[in-house]
Amino acid sequence: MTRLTALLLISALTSFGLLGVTPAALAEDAAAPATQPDAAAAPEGSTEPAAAAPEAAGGGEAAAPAEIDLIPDTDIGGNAFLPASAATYSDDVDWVFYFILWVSIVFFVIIGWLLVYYAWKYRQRDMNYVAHGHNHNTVLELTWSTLPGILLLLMFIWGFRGYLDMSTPPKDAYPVTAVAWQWSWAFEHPNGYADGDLHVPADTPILITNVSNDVTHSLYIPQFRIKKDVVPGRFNQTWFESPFNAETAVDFPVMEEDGVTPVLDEDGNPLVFSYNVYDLFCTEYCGRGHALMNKKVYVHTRESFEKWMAFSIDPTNVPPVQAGEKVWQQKCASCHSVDGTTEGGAPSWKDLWNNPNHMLTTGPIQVDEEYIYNSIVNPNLQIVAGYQVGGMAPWVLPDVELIALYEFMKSVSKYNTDPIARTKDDWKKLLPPVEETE
Amino acid sequence: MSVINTPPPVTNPTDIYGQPLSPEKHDNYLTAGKGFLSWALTLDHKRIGVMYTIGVLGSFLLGGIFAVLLRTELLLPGQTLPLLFTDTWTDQYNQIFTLHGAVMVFLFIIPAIPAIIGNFVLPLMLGAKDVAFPRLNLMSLYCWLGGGAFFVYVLASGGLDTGWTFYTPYSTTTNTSVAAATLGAFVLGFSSILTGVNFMASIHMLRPKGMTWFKMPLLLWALYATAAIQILATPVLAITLLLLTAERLIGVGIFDPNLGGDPVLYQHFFWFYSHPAVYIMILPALGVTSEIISSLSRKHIFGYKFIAFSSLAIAFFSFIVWGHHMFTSGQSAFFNALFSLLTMTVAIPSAIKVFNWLATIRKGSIRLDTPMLYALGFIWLFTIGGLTGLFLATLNTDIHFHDTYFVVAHFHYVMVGSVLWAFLGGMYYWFPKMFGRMYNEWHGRMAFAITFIGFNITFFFQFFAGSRGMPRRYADYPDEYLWYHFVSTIGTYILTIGLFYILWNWVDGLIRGRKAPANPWGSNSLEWHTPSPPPHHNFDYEPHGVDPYLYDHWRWDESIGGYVIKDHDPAHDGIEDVDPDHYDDEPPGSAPAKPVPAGA
Repeated sequence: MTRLTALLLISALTSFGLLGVTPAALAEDAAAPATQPDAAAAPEGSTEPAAAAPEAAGGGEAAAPAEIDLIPDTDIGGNAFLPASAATYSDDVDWVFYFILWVSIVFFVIIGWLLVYYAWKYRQRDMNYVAHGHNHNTVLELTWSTLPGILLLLMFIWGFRGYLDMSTPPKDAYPVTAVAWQWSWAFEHPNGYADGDLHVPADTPILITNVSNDVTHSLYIPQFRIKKDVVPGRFNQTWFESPFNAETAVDFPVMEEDGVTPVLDEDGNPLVFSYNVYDLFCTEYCGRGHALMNKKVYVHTRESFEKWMAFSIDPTNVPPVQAGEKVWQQKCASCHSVDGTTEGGAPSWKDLWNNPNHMLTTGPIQVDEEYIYNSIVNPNLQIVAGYQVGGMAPWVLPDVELIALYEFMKSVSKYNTDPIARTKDDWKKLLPPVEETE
Repeated sequence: MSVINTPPPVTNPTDIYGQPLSPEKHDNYLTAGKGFLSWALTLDHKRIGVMYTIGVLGSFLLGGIFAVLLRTELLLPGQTLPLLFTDTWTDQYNQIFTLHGAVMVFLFIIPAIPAIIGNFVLPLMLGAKDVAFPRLNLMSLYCWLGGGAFFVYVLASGGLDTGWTFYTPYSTTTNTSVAAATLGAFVLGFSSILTGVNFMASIHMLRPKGMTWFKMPLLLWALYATAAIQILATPVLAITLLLLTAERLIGVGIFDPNLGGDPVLYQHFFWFYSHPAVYIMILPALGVTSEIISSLSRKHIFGYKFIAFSSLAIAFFSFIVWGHHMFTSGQSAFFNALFSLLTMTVAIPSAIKVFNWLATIRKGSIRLDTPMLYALGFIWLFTIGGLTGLFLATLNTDIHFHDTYFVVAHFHYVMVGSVLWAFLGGMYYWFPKMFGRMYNEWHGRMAFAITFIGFNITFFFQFFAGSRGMPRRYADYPDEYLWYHFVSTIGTYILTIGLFYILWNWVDGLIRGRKAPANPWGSNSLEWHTPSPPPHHNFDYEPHGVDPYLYDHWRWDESIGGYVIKDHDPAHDGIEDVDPDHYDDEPPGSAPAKPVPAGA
């Protein structure tokens, strides 16, 4: 029975290993033509292999195939102990780590060896033998109290010096505000643009100011060795400077919506972003979506960062549907799914738009722009049947994001009868004409 | 490996001289009263200890079920368990890890050694009839039951998903049964305080003639230090939890930044108790280990005063290191440096104990029976747990490791590897005394091997997962960390099998085990100077204080499978102590000096 279970588990493991991981990476490449750089984190790439996963997983595991690979992969490099270091001061952390590690190994080998050696050598042979010997030795006691004390003091001093470097940002650092809420992040740049992932220029000190919209979160980038809690009512700051690593860098060519035509920059050259990618985790427990509050850090070359910023700041650089999807990813996806599941605790947007059967607690309602708008700015006004007041906080979205969101919601509903704005040219129809001032 | 001794079964319990007990002395604490009320209203510390055993082991089973569930959920990425409690699987995972932590901490680890082993053994070690306040002792049991009832209510009423730490503002906004859980912890706190008061008063007032402070068994020093923490720190938890409840129910705004409060203040309050609480858990474990190490090495403990004072030092330092839980919370660099330095100091008394234990077993006569295996296993695991604590005390490495699986592995090595190991070792060691029967030695050793292997597989790899960046309390994880979690879960299953094996071994011992002699180990602390199980009033004579670590006057008696007093002098029942320094100048292996029975 146990063996059968183990076999099942291992087969499930390999099938996930083969079908859940690799095709996801492939799917990411295939999805890459989508015109946004953070397509690498797009969730639809993850639903495909899940659908392909066989029933080998057995009843329990097969219950929610759509959940596999919620957290996409980044190659974190490094060795068995630590991921590859990627910030200027993280080598200091690693150095102190290896110092303590060796001290620990030496002590553990001595203690462990003596323990086993004594236990065997002095094992009982005569039940009546009572061992005698010294039972106190003050010099010995003081020696083994003070010698470790010196090592401890060294650890403290080196750890503290490293910590001072980590907690003293340079004056000219590039400031980014990290806003956390249940259960996502927004990273605001000085020019006002906010992105769901942390994009920063390489070889530049970055000053992060943490802001929480609700409960305590924590910003953790393992490869930089930094962590800072996002505490409501406080503005905790931390900083890092990440050198550009050409070996692990990724060149990301940006494509038009057809997936083939490269987007051109101002000079007429193909637009290519060049960056290193790192994981970013929330490490302070914050509720249902805690494990899903993961984003990526993109450390661009300075040139690439400028191109990325110029491209990203204008949502009309991508078709409305994609712009809407990005808004959804950044601000809505932690609660509202588009695959029909309601595990985020909120109604799914799948087949929601124009759904004739959509019920509120007060009765049926037409799902259109007006209803969606009201549900965003005043979510407690109209409650979907089966849900309670207070599940969502009011949001203020710019018009362009609202319009994009409508288009995205249309695109995931089978009841939609309106045309969907899938090309960049459609922005001209959607947005009010810019009035020329004289 | 020493031979497993299987003497012929003894049908009658024996006294400390190896003589069968006279029929009128057959009555022991287990038989000295029948019926439900004789247990429910008992003032006997031994019966209270037995009732704690049942309750605390039941809690351990409950917390263990949650542990197996949560490890199973983490076996593979994505949802693994079917939905059992809640509508969403991440919520379900959050509830499981919260209940695992809360049940294990509040209902199992904190009471385990003081309430079971402490309650049973402390008055016996003092040669006393009972603890100083028997009625208070019974009340602490009922407080524990009351607190446990709150937790049962929590299970039945929407669960708990705050983590056992109840961090605000999440705990004031979630819609699970936070109020009931905090009230439960509040009531359990009283149980802990009452036990502490009782132990402290007992040690001060009930020591027998001849037992000076430095003639006390080291377990009593450890329990004394524990009691000091229980009395001084637990009220802070009570106040904190009341404030949390007030915050939640009527919004007083102490922790809510919107009302001028500060969530980090809650963390300060909480850890001001909960860091010392870690030492409430570990100190008795250190005491138990000192007893077993010396007794089963048949050699006087090395560095008695250093071990005794290191317990007090740990208790003292435990109050001034709480800030190391908040290195990333935004407290000032000065505070962080201060707490980092102070935390380092805790390593020294811990190291002193380990070195002294090693010096004790050196040139001893080590009986590798199950309690000793657990004690040696304790040193092994406590060393790993302690050394990995250095990474967390050092500031810049802690920034990386804080709230990752490295921390999870570290505190499980200390809380499970050390405390549970000492608890199991102590239970095996005092099992003959508590129930008057022997467990099966071979099965005991096998179960040790399985639990030891299972434990290390479960938690050792979590260090690597954590140091490579795996955050804790995650329902899901990147594939990068798959193997660590997979192996860890397999280890959990092995550990679980081992623990049920132990339970079976105990139950089997209770039913079929041979009758235990008064002193199966040749130990010399006073609880071994009375038959197993002890009579209702513990001793038939007035015991005198002895040096608990001198073993010369006990002789192995094959016919009863235990040790008996060498020079049988029925006229006298007390044993005069012998100056331990007396032996210091003798070359090892020379003929032991024979202690002179008092009154001879």
